[in-house]
Amino acid sequence: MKTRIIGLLILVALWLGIMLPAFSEKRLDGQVKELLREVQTALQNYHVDEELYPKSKMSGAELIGLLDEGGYLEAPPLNPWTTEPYQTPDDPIDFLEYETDELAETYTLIARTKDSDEVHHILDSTAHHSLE
Amino acid sequence: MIIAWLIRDHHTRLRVQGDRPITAYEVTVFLPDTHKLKPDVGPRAGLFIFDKSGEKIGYAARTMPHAKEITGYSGPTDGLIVFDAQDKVLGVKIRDSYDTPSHVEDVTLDLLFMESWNGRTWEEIAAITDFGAANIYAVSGATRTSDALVESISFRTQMAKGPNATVGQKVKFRWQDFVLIGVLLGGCIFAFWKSKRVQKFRLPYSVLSVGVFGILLGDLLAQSLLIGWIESRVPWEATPGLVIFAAAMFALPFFTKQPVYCQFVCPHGILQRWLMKLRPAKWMTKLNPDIKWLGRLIPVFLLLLVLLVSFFRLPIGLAGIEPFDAWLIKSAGIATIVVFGVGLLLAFFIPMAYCKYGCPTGLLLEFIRRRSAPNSFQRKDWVGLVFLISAIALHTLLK
Repeated sequence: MKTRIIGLLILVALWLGIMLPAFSEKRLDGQVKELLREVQTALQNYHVDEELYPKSKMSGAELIGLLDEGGYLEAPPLNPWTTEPYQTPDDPIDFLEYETDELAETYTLIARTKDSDEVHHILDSTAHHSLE
Repeated sequence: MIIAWLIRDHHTRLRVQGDRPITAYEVTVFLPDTHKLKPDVGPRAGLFIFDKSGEKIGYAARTMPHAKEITGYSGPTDGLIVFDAQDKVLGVKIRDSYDTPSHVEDVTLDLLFMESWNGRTWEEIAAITDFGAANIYAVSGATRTSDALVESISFRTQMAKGPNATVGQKVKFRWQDFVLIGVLLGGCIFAFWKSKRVQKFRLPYSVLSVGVFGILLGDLLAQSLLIGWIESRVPWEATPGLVIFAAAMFALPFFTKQPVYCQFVCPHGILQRWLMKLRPAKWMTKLNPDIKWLGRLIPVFLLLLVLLVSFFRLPIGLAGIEPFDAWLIKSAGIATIVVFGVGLLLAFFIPMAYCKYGCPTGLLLEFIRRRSAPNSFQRKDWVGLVFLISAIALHTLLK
């Protein structure tokens, strides 16, 4: 009986070892999408005022700092990778990047996968508009 | 069957509703008696609207995610279209938009524009090719946003006739389908015809099954395949042979109590049987009852994993929990190859190790085969009941 209980616990632990990271990844994915959506709305509001998007390539933290300072964000968003408020202008754990063209007429928001350089989500003003 | 239906219903809802489901409350703006929405599995892929008495009082559809490629100023616009019981538009609403909020507001406040579709039927809207001729004009100052909504609604209504519509697709039998039906018939012959004259051909049949069904076609029954069919639809038109094959492999054990697939057809089972015969007798390991008991729980845990992955759309590839994709070497992932290798290695020491202590598809087939006598409720029935309750709970919770 003791063997069965110990074995069952090991089995449950292994099973949870597969399931929990998947749930965590799914939750992170939702939070990253939410962040991108909030930043996108803020960028559109910025564009309405300034007629251009922010002019240089920058990290997510820098962009959020800029948008927050200008009052374009309803509230400073949480960093999905740390689940804490973004440390602006420089957050050591930040996988969001902002890019624009030479004339600052378009933008690209890139969220990379943690611990790799893969693009997780991309939102830009010319092609990838929807995360749905 | 009920669990499969619950998974299917859940995914139909996700497909129709996308990430931002239409709520009954939203629809009450146009139809105050709205009580319940039910996904339409047909090509329109919208929602039937019911009142409290259960009477169908209308139909609702959203333009996203189907029309996500149609963009306005800086992205797509999600429109809600509500029809009455006579299939005529009662109203259109912008649910959400990636466009500049001030432009969206301009469009929303232009009632003349927002009511452009009112009174038209789904078919009439789908037939519109010249918006000007149909008196649908863009909103001045928010042209691109309003144009995007017009085009999205048009696309959404035309979608019912497009590639998503299954009507008109013809069933196409290819040589692979005939091979699968041949494999199925062969399995049936060996399962039901026990004469020695027939059984002496079992080895050549097994070789063919491994070579043709396993290595050449690689169409082994697997959770990834079955769950894909349940979640979306059975691809009857594209692979009729595989559908007939799978249906027969589930129906046969239910009606005849013969494990045709596991015992006679599955190349992975055949391979393990061969390994069992090849290995020296001294290599055989006898498992103690506790380990056997635990081993039998592994497929149960794997089926539970399949259930959760499907309901929550978790990022776990179901092909990786079974070895069957490894039969098509090109498409196999590392997890699949590991399960394949370890399963076969264990078969050297423990007879049919993977079949007994690892295969969730085998467990499912065995569950169907060993259905209880009408008046008894056995342990496996309790397991089945737990799965059913879990599926009902997930289906209800994730609504």
